[in-house]
Amino acid sequence: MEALLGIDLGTTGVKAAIFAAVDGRPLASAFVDYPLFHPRPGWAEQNPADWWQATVKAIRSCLEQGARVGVQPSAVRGIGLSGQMHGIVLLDEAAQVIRPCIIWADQRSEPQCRWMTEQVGAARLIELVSNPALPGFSAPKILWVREHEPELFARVRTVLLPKDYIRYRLTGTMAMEISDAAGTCLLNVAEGSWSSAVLEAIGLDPALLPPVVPADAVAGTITEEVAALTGLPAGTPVAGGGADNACGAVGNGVVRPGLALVSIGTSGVVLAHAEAPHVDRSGPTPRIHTFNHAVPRAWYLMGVTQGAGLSLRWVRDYLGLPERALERWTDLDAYELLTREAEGAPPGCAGLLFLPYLQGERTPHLDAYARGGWIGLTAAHDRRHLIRAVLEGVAFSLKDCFTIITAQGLQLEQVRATGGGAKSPLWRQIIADILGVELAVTNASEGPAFGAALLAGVAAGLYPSVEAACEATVRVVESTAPRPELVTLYARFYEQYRALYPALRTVFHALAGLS
Amino acid sequence: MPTQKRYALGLDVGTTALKAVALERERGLVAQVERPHELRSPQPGWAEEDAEQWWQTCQEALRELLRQIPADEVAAIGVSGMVPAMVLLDSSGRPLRPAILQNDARSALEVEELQAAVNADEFFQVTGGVVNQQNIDPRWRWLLKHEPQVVARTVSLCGSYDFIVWRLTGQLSLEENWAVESALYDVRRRQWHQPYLDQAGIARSLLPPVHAPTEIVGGVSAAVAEATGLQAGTPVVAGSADHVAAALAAGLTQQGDILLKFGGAGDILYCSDQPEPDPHFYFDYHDIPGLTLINGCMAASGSLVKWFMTQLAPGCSLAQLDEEAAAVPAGADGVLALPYFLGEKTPIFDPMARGIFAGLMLHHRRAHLYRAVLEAVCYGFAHHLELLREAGRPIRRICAADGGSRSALWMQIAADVVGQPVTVVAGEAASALGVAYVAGMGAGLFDRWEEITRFIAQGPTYWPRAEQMALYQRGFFLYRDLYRRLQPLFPELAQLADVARLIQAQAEEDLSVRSSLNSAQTELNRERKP
Repeated sequence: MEALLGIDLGTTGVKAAIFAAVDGRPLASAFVDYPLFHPRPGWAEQNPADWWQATVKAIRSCLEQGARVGVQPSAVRGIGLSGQMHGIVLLDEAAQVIRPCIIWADQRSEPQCRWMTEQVGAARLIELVSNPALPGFSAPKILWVREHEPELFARVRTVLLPKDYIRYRLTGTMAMEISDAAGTCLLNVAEGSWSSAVLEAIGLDPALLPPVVPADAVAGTITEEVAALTGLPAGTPVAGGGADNACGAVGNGVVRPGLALVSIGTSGVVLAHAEAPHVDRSGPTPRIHTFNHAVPRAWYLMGVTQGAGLSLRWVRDYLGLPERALERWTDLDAYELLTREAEGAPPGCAGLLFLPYLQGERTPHLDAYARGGWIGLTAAHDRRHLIRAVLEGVAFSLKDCFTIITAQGLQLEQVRATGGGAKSPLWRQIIADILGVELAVTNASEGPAFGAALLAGVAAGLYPSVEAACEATVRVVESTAPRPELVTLYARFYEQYRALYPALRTVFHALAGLS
Repeated sequence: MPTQKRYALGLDVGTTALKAVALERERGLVAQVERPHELRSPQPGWAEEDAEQWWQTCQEALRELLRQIPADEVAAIGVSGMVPAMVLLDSSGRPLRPAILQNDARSALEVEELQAAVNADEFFQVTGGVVNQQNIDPRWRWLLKHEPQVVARTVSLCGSYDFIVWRLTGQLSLEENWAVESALYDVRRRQWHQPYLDQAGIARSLLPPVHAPTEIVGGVSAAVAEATGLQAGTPVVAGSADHVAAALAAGLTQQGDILLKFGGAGDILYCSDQPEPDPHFYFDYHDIPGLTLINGCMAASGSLVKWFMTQLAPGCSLAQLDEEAAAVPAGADGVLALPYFLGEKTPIFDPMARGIFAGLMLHHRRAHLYRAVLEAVCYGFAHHLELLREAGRPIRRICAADGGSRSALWMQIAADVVGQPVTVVAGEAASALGVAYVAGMGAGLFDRWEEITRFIAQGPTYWPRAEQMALYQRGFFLYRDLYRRLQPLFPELAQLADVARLIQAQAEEDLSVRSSLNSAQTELNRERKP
């Protein structure tokens, strides 16, 4: 049997999973976690060494599991990597890590974003890299190190992204894969090459950046040393792989026009396949990201709402005492109990709305000071309404992303749902009704690791293309149709929802000063 | 040797219970009795009670009190109660139907009719208030439409405590605040406003003579004396509206005295020596001659706390919630609530207003939300105080009473938010105590109104703290701002909720049609099979 190994380097841990090449069936899977550090409020760092150790452990454990079901390491035809985007791994001349990786969630580089935008020019920056400078992106983080840790920066010879660093450790070859490179704010997204204009404007040496490689081609092979360490055969090809969202899209078959992916993890992502690098030009700053896809010569447009699953988790953790207590006495988990309660409230929650901005908001407001809230409470509302309003509020914020994406002229015929929140039939129905499109669920499991494995399959020559890989392995297994009468109703609630943020913006900002 | 009269009795006819007290001229409250009342809501929004039941509980309570004190030492009796309840009496003085209570909402349509029929400015100039569901006019219109046979037999109209006074003495009377709250009365001329009576179709002859609270309406009749153990001829005063008696019992005896009531609703009463009503408030006469009570009512206060406990903190005690919330800094760390869960009465008169939690962040927990609720109610009171100040009304002293005043946390927040010391007064059976004092004043048992303070159990005083005050001033600004910004959205939200209900009902109907179709289909299939 031919098998593929997908590795997803996430924020909480790394997953390694083996899939059957013929139909994408998962055969083995292992997860190993690692710590996340917050040296100061708003900072977020991880140690690449922790990633590496966890990755080795996960691969070994996954291979052991595979062996138990008859899949030998030699059956692995290729390895694909997926990973958290934007983090910067700084290497010295000896390819040693200089400082902990400043990861995507880190917010320290706001001043560097402003400086960079001034240096390049706001409009020109978007012309060159298709995106604005945001603290989440890589380039401002590099500039922060240059400004605040000059003696460390002087030793930097190479900058890698998290999963590309792992690929370097696996293969000894340094490269930056294109869909991940798109999130650096240094890549000319339209052309797929480093933007020398931006690098020049901000004074970064192009030599710090390794070559850009495609997602679905071999970027290196397993070294002898790693073979000894992990049990993988030396010489096994390792593909470029892709950014976590790109791999999530591939794993769900979102690799052709007309398809989009809604992911309800901690944050919510709406991502649509695009055949051209459309940029949202409805305002001075694009409200969605335009990145290169893991599919060659394709892009995806992506909106991110910060508080999706996060909002429901907040309800569970701080207001869900009864559900958490009940969880111990039944075989239902607290989320299931909460969403079951929400079923008891009517669509529109009898006039109650929820703003899911518990952690500020990216799309569409780009406002770190945006805040959450329940609006429209009456004494007749109860717990069921409060919970359902959260589910609806998250769906409305997904609709914000969806609306901007479709405004770029993309015709979407089907949206596929993934992530923890998509497990709830109620939530899926709410999202289908609010977006007004069919919401499908695929057979994809194991998250972005699956997409990474498919990319490895293309690189290893098992499939002729990414599209063909998806054709062979990805199937829609369940579909939720929007209910016409509720689509109309929710459209009116959505108008109310949209009016809330502009009305409350100044109050939110003032409240930030009060806390 | 004549017996020394030492006691004044006070009876309070409340929605949930009758409370009765005996007030001894030196020792204060010496006996208390309570009997439950049964509120009926035969249709949504209706609020009725059986006036005969009130009379039964009054008699039981009197008998009970007189087991504890000698009847021949009772100087006078006073009755207080909810106002304006509406009791319709036939020619023999029997209630023709259950009493319609002040919070009954059946006449919404007729309220609109009245609003359309009057000029709001003139209405305010005459009655001291705005058109609302408590007014007698819309209720009378409703009765004319729906119960004409009752109206035809009605010989007299009176209120809750007026009815008890009638039963005790055989004399029909109306205490003046019933007249005020009926909105048929000219509060400047202090007489019925004939055009409004005509407009409502209420004959002047239906209305008993109007009395001041301390006026003795009559003596206890022989029959009642027999039934209760009271001495025949014991003087009965006209009595008092319950909230006015409660204000007196909290020590509001001078201009600028304020009572904040942290009950199910949030009431604020302001004692004034000016006769002018205020457009943001309701208007009543004080039990003390020459004084008025400007008062406001926030629809939700303690009821909001109760909602919070039920919905967001089930199984958690108030003490525990208080303890948690006390650990949250003032301003609830940026969480801001609006308390308009039941719409709002004063001072915004907005039935479409809605409740809000705003400013939520990931680290906020139950305690932050709960503290925000406590703060929101206090901001609501502060809003009333701001309007009083703007109207040039001095603020002398602020008292707090009722359930919420037992929370030290809430009272400290109140002091910090309003920026003045807040003194808790024990509000136990406050209206009954107040009206007992009114009876005592009427019968000459007491000389001065101010002396009621001897009988008031004072609780702790909470002092505002400078740092928190400054913070809450900013919070109050945001509280006002939040409402102004969202106010335009509320009516549409309510309308959408109605549309959603219709769609839901339609869907359920479709479902039942479909399922009956399905079962018909199954039935058909079954028939075909053999």
